[in-house]
Amino acid sequence: MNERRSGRLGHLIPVLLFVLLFVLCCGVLTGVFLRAAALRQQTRAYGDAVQLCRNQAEQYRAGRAAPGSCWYDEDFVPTSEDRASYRVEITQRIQQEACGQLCTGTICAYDRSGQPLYELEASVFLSGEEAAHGE
Amino acid sequence: MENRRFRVGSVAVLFTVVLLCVAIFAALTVTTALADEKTAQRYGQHVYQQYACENLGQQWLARARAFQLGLGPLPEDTWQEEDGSLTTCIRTDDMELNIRLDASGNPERWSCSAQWQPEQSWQLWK
Repeated sequence: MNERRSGRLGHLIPVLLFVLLFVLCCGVLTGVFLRAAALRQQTRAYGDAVQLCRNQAEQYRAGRAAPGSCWYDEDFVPTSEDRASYRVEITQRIQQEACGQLCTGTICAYDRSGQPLYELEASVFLSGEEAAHGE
Repeated sequence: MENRRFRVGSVAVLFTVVLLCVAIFAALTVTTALADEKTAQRYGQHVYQQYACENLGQQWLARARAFQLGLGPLPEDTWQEEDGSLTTCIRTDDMELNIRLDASGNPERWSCSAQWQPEQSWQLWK
């Protein structure tokens, strides 16, 4: 009786080994897929940050973006802080030139957790009249 | 006794083929994700270089306007035409910015272009 039972168990050992190997491979492959998904998410956030910084840089050059923070959702629509996926911050430094001002805005995009994603600098020269009109 | 053995041969082959297929899909997914990441980084680098070049152009514009108003010297790498217009060409790593100011200080040309380097290898994302 014991010999028959041990014989059945002996036959099941390859099956168990195969199932174990299968589960192990499935786990590894799931990890690979999850890693790829995380990488794609990072890539998307980086691309969005580049686009947001570029948009803000053009707005800054046109005089339509003031220093400060703006919040955007995943579709680049301005939204409230609690619903935002990205925050774009503009800091400005002004350098006086002989006939005007050279304004340089540092535009930085952050993700929801506050981690910086991308940074861009945009300069615009304002002549004396333009600078006076801007103020 | 031999007939009572649990036969796993066909099932094992089937599962192995399924695993191989999924492994190939996983490799393709990771490769595509890495390629997308590299493309996004290259785009970000290109935008950064473009704005760095444009910023140099704005600095040149400030000096050129000062020169035209008699408040400063002629900027470096600047050509003055007979009609009083100023022309310059600013080159950075892969970017080239051509600016031409007329005599009254208005930009007649502001052209920023990239000099693309063709890929000679098949390793597009390395």
